[in-house]
Amino acid sequence: MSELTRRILFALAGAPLTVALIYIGGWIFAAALAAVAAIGAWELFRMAREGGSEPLEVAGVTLAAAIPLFVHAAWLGVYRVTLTVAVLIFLALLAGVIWVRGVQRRPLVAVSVTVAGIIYAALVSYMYQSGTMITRSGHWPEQCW
Amino acid sequence: MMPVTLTWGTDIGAYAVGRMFGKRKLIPSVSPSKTVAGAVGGVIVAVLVCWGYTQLLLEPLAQLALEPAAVLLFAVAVSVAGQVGDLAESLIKRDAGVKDSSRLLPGHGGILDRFDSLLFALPVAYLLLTLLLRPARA
Repeated sequence: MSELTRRILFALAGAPLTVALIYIGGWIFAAALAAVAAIGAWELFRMAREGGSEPLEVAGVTLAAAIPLFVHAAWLGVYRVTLTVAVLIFLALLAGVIWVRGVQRRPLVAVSVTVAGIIYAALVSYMYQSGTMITRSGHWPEQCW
Repeated sequence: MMPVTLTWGTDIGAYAVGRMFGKRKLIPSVSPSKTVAGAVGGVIVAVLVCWGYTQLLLEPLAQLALEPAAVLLFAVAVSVAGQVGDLAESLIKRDAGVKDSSRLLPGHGGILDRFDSLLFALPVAYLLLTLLLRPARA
């Protein structure tokens, strides 16, 4: 199978699935994005390990998965993560890795790669933002929420 | 869905045009296979897909519209962002010394290999949609 055929097949398979998830919306859509973010973060951390870094994989994958769920919670008005909370999480990661790993295992690099991986993988949350913006235009059925 | 369609259209268009017409390499130190022709072709395909999407889906189904200039701006920005995202992940893989982000998707590599363009394109698309989307005229 050629590379072009593979890309077209992926798009043909992925498009109806994406449409279905956006149409269903709500927690199901957010959970699907959370799964993609978690896997993406895990892959990034895997590549970082190959390159010689030691990211905080469990914390990183968990936080990457949490971000789409927090985005959904914010849209619902249930809970909004403030910048202060995000800063505190970062400080907790930094303090924790310094305490557990010590200086020799390059804690600052570990936290930097972890945070970069979380943000990078969780960018998929913008699919929720864009999809919900259009579905909330008022011209889609209520179940899109 | 529109940013996703644009990004995947860019990806397919860039690959197809690059295979047919590509000679000059885009940035060989990061991605040896990408060409300037492919990059330009991807943008052109994105513009066409964006125009078709707004005419056939966005306006009739969601009663939302983009002005013609906005279609062009949106398509070019999202396409370029997606291609930069692809190059960024190529850079990460090159730095790590791996060919694919993982083997989770047989024949396709990993999740990041399929979503790398989207990760850059989606925030750009969201920002532009907040600025450019209008209710469709009756």
